[in-house]
Amino acid sequence: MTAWVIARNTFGEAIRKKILNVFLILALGSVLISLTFTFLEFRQQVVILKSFGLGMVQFWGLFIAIIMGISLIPADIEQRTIYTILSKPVKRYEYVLGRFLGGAITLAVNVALMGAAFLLVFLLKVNTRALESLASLDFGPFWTSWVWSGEVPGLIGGIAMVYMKLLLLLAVAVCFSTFATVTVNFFLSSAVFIAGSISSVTEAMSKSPNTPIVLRWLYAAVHYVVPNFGNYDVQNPIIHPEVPAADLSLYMWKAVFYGLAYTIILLVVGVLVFERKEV
Amino acid sequence: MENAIEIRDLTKSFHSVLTGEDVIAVDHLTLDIHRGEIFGFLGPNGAGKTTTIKMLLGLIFPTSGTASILGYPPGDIEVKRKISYLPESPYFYEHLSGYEVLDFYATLFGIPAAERKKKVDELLDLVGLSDNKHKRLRHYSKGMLQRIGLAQALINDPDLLFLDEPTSGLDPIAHLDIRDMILRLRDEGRTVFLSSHQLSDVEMVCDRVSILDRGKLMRVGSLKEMLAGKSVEIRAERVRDDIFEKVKAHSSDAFTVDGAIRVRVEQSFVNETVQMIMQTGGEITAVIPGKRTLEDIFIETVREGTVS
Repeated sequence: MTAWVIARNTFGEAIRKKILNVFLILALGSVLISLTFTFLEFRQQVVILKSFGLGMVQFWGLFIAIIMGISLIPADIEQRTIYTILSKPVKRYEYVLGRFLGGAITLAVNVALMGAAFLLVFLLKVNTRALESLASLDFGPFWTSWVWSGEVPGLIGGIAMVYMKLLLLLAVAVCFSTFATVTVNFFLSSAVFIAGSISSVTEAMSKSPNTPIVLRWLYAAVHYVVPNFGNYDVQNPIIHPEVPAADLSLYMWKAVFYGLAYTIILLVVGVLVFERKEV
Repeated sequence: MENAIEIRDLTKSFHSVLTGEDVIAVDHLTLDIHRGEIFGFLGPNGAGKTTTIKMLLGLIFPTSGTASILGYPPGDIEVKRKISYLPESPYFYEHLSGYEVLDFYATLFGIPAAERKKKVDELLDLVGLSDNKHKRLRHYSKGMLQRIGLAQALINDPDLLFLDEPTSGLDPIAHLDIRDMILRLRDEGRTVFLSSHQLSDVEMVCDRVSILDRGKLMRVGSLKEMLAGKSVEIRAERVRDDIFEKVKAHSSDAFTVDGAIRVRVEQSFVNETVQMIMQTGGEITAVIPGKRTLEDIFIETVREGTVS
């Protein structure tokens, strides 16, 4: 209950933050830009639009997740708002959880808005004939020519995977924010994200006989400890649904559980550190 | 008398990365704060006042020693329901309005919605912010923020309030309002732990005070006793010269004004002096007990660095 009160307040605070709103506007603008790729063949335009749209949701979402995650707790400590909160009947774990949940809700709303804009642009693109009917003010053929693309559920799945990736990054940043300064945390969280995004590379390096043994251990440690952000890169089967692939939905569910498990571990570590933190 | 706060040998040291040494912020502090009193916690900047308050609130942890707040250890969730804290220059969530911020804090205490609305409106009225309750805090002046700070400290009807510089940055009217409010809190039976540099305020409202310097408790006691002077001024007329000379020998300050004498003598010598003057035909016109200000005591304590 207390964590939820803090989460609600965190969300209210975040949606009024100018920097996050700027990222959201840039993201929406970027998605709209993809409508201008008319110089390509129609099929290519749709492929590029899907790839570009999902990429933009992720790109701007990364900024929102990391900027928000690194500052949620330190901002309260720096501005001394935390004194009046922790001196109230609020347990420290409730505070950390509340701040994280508020961030997660903010992230969800931002990704949902960016995703909705992307899906709208996608549907407008595949409904060229319907749009033409609108342009000629002949509304009759509009609904008959409107196509509800069967690719939409796949794209929503892709957006959900982007959200899971960002949520995991948010958990990393919030965990580090319990002991690192904002600047250090920015580099630390970014490094973890990069290392976790090339997990297949670190795994290969840890098994390569050409790698010195010490480095192999290091790569293995990075591969097993750092969350695998590459798990959520499912764009290819979504962008090219015509190419046969393994059971995508099962894979995505596994990735969701993996992300949630890692998020819980990171939050537990963050709470344990914060319990002894002097504010 | 039952104590609201009991502090025993409380010590806090910080490790300095620059010098590699431990810096002692609070040094074996032992102190009792009685229930229902306004206790002034004084000391120059860096004396360890805020560090002590933060330890009592469970925001930081002591290196050694113990403290008990209303019978609970610092930071205990149950004690947090009964206490409140107004930090120095408080910061609140600026995106919220005055009403919303109090509602937020009230929700943290689990106060039901209907009761919360009534309570928040009452407090806004009490601190004189009813007309600005829907204004965002980022548009509040320092004085208004201080008032909101006091209102949030009263949201749970606390038994014990920690007020850190509550009158800092306030105009004279607001200053007076807050001073009256602190006195009202004591009349309602609450305990107030007041840390302040405004010695005149402390002198007017506190029952007891302590003076901390470089982490050490230098002085603690009843304000009335502290302010009571040890010397007495005696004014008399028609005092014989030889008697004046005798009195002068025991006086720290003696002079004549238009034939009348004014001497300052130790309390223990008052009766003897008065008798001597009267038995030799002199007339006593006034016996004035000497009084010191809290500022005198504060400066004397900090400058001399004596523990008493």
